[in-house]
Amino acid sequence: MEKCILIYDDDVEILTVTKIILEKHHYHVETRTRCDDILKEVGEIKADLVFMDLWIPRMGGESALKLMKENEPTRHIPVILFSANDLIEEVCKRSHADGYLKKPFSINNLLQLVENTISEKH
Amino acid sequence: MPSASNKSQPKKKAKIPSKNLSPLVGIGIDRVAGKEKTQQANKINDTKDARIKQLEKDLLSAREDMRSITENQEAANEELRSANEELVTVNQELQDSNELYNRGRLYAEAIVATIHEPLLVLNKDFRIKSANPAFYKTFQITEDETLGKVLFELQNNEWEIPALRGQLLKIQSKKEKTLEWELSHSFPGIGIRIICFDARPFEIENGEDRILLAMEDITERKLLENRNLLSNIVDNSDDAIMSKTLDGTIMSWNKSAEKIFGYTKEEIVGKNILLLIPPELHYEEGMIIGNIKKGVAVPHFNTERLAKSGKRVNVSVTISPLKDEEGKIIGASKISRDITEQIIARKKIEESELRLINLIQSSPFAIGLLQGKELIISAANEAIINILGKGPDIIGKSYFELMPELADQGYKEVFNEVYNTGKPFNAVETPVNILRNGKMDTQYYNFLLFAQRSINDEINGLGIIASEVTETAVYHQRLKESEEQFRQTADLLPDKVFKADPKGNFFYLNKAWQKTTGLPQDELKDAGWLQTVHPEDMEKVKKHLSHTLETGHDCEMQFRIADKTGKYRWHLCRAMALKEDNGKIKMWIGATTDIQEQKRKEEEKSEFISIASHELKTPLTASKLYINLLEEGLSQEENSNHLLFAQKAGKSIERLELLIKELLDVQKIQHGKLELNITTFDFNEMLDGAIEEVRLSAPNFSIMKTGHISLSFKGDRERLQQVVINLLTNAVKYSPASDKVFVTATEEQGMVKVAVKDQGIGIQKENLKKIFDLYYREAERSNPFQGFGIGLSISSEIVKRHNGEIWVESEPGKGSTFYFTIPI
Repeated sequence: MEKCILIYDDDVEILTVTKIILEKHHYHVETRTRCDDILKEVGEIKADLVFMDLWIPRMGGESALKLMKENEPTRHIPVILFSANDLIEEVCKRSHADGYLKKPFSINNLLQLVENTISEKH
Repeated sequence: MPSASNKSQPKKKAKIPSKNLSPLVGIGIDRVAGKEKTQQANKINDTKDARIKQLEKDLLSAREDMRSITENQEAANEELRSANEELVTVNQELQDSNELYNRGRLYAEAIVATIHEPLLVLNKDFRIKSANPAFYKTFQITEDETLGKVLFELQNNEWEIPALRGQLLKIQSKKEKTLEWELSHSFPGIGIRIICFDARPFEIENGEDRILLAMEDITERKLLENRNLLSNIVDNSDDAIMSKTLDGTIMSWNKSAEKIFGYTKEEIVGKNILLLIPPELHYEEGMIIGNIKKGVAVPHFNTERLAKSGKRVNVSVTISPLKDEEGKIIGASKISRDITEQIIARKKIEESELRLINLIQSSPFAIGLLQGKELIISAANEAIINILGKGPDIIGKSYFELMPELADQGYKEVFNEVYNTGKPFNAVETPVNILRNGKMDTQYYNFLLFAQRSINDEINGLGIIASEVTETAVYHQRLKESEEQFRQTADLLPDKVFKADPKGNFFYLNKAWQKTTGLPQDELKDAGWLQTVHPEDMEKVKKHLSHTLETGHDCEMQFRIADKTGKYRWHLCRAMALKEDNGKIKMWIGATTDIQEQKRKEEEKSEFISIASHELKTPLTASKLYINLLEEGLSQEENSNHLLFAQKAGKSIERLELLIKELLDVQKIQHGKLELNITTFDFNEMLDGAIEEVRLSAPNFSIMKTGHISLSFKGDRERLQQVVINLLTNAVKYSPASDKVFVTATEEQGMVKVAVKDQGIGIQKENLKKIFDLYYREAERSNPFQGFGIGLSISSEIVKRHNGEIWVESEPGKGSTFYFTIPI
């Protein structure tokens, strides 16, 4: 069964191109340009992996991640933070994210991280 | 006396009968009266009888009385006879005693006449009543010239001796004897004699006063005593005393002579005096004897004599002629005083005096001594002569007569005050006007004025020590002015300026401090200003301060200070140590600037960069991914041109990515925000990774690596790799005519050293240092090559942050070698 990846980013182009790449590699991809209720959205989609832009509108990447990790049903779902900001590494450590991806990244960077994370968790 | 009592006794007895006879007289009268009354007898018979009876009774009583008188008379006769007998006895006794007296007198006279001591008896007028032969003999005077004469007039009044007269008058008035008083007098014919007098007053039969004057000539005895005393003195003298004959033979030798010269009396007496005189001084003896023969004493002179041990003794010698009884010169007495120690002491004093004089003369300080209340210059060294400017001949002149201009400046009062009170006067950098060559000259002096005292501790002069300090004084004045200017300037500044002592106590804070904090200077001083620091910054500030004070390094820190409304504002504080030539910290100066606004702008800027980088990177990411997709798609197609275009687009995207990264790094460096992510990694692997990456982008170049650093290294792996990549990229970029780059890695002296060598265009010598500056680029021939030139400056910063060093060696046209070292 295809793994479902939920990607949050305010930039449509990023969402589009990552969706193309990941779907090419047989992942089911759902994208969102904003995050209103992370728990509800993750629950509905039954995501296996969440890509979260650090500066996602409404909720903000870090607080969304925090909510997920504090919520028992979603705690196990791996979350990868991505951002163009150098602070991402620090935030990743601080908020117990499962990985980070610094923009700009390459296709290889993306695929490697997704594969590693999913195989680790499942 | 018994004779006197015999005479009075009979007189007394004679009176007794006359008293007892009175009743008898009464009877006679009564008988006459009885005859006239016989005619009337009949009438009064009874009365007659009674009367007769009474008369008989009276008669009886009279008889009784008579008998008693007779008895008395007999007794008186008896007494008279016995008195007569006594008288005869007394007479006999008197005769006896008279005889005895005469005998005694003759005896006494014989004694007086034969006694050896002169005796005189003087009456109350001091006329000589008698004298004995010893007197005549002793004083060579005849009896005629003596007896009956007044003592003081003897021998033509030569005996008029006030002391004698006084003494005799005293004896006469007090009637007390005086024994053994001595008198020295020159008597005619016999010369000076010392006479010992005994005088006792007495009274002769007729009550006249006499004085018995006994005299003894004790001249010889006294002389003998004196001689003994003298010989005692000689023996006990500390000086060597000796006598010698005219031919130089030593005759006597006292104990001190023995002590000083080492010869005993037995050894030296009889020897010649030349034994004691050093050969080269033998001539002295001839001169001495010459004088002595003429009867001239040689007053003390200093010379040298030889002791038995051969040691030379410094002596002061006095020589006097010795005469015999007739006054003939027979030799000389010689007194020698050992003055070796005295001479040594004097030499020492002379030396010390010389040293003092040299010290005064050579002293750069002006030194002068003024004598007495008139302040006469008694000593002055060259320095003071120069200062006073009145020529070299100032000794002996009165100070204020020489320097009237100083009196006009009130210094006379100052000098007098010191002279009168003994309290020294110390002047520091004091202006003094001195007239030199007719021109008034103002110079500054430090001087000390102090009292000079005599041995008795009485002030007898003044000493001056002065030094001209015009330059220093002017300097200090300027310093003071400059200090004032500094304060004024500092007060004008909006920055908070401070000065602190080497221990970090703030002793000066400008007005801006008070203006900002609203606290008075006193409350801010020392460590008072710390109360305005934000509690969260306090620990950091204190740590920083103590580190700065410990190391003496410049200090730069940011912290918040509460303004007078209590609102905290960010400040940047910079301080640096002002040091002495020897590196010792004199004080700290610092300025604290309000950077609240700057800080806000920085935060905004930082936010902007953050946003901008995000904004830039997001489309870049999308482009990069699309191009990746394109390349993937095209590689499977035939049209290789399209693939090439896609690859070129990919390269440009990569370059854009690098540029954005470098821009952000520069921003970070400029804001001090370049943070290192320190981990432990394999240095060699890091190096190989960098070489691999550059090799991928420049496949035509051969990058040759030598050396292998196989240790785990602590540092920011990514950043250090960035440095190596930067150096390699540059080597490739600036080597248009070569295809070789050499990398050498070595480990030496606790450092890793990496060298990247190219065979490129090289760098001009004058640009070798600038090359690490931001935005520098080798201009002349770099036009064909791209890049902002900020890579080296970022590399430099990264190396420095690792406490390492980076440098370059280059020869234009031949190539460059970049080195960096980092401590392990």
